[in-house]
Amino acid sequence: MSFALETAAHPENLRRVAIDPVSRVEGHGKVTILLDDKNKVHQVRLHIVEFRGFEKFIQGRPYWEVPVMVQRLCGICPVSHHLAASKALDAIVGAHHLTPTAEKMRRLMHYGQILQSHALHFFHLCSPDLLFGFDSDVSKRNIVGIAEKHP
Amino acid sequence: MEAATKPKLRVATTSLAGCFGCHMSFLDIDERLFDLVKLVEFDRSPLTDIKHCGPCDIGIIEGGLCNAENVHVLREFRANCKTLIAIGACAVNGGLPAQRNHLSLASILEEVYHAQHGLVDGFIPNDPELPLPLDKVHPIHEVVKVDYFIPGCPPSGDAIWKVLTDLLAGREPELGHGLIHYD
Ligand code: SF4
Repeated sequence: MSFALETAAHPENLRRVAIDPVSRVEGHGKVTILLDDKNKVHQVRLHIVEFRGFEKFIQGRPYWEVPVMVQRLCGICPVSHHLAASKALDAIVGAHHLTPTAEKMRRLMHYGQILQSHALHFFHLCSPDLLFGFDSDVSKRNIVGIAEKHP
Repeated sequence: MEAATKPKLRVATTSLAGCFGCHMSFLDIDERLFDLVKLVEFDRSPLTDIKHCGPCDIGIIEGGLCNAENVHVLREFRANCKTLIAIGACAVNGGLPAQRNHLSLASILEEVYHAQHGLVDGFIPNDPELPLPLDKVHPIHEVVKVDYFIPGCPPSGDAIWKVLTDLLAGREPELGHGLIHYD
């Protein structure tokens, strides 16, 4: 199967560089780059390598289990998945109006998660690249190096 | 003058078919991370940008095995790590992803990518760059020897801290009451 995104006309003649795993995203990923002899990039693709099948295996479970099950889709943004499933349950049980407290609770949970996720992404994942530079020594380019150099 | 410092132990961590929740829990040791890095150095881990695990003292595995690549990474860890720890329900017994084991893989792929309500022109991805999914999700001890297991989904930061500090101090790790839980 080929996609519009496969921009290289003759991938078989190109050099492949793989960034695997991608360590600067929250989750599992892999990037492949195809280059020619002159190091010109012909194609870059991001591959989502993880398949777990939650869509299918949550079917048939007691409905109140689902918000807790889908939290395990992602340990970094569990609240988003929890709230999405809660919304689906709202529709199922006919709760068309949330109480003001419930609405505030959900918002607060989500803000908390956004804050935590951004802190993780910025400090643990990105700051080493930004502060040390992308080409710097890989053994120092991490949160430990940052803590030493920029406490 | 400082006394001659012991060489730091090397620690590698990875997430296989896990959700990174266990790694988040590991980071819940918060500022104790800085006490930890006085004693250890990180090899491959989501915290570093090292792509392959080199010789290490401790390897920490989150997540079970749901595709062929997970198996390769796990074997690489086992070959390089003196002590291997399974953290979290997924690594210990397959965890939630193993809920798919009572279904056929073909039927799940078919439904998710092809037949699901709302999909237009769906098809099952078969790009050679994608790792092949395993027929069933396996806990890691079915493929390699695992030295220690920390249960929980996720285990608490304190539980992970306890096991690591026990190991670093040369004690047999013990979780004990309050730290051991399975949910
Ligand atoms: S054990 Fe739980 S928290 Fe850990 S990776 Fe698996 S689903 Fe996530």
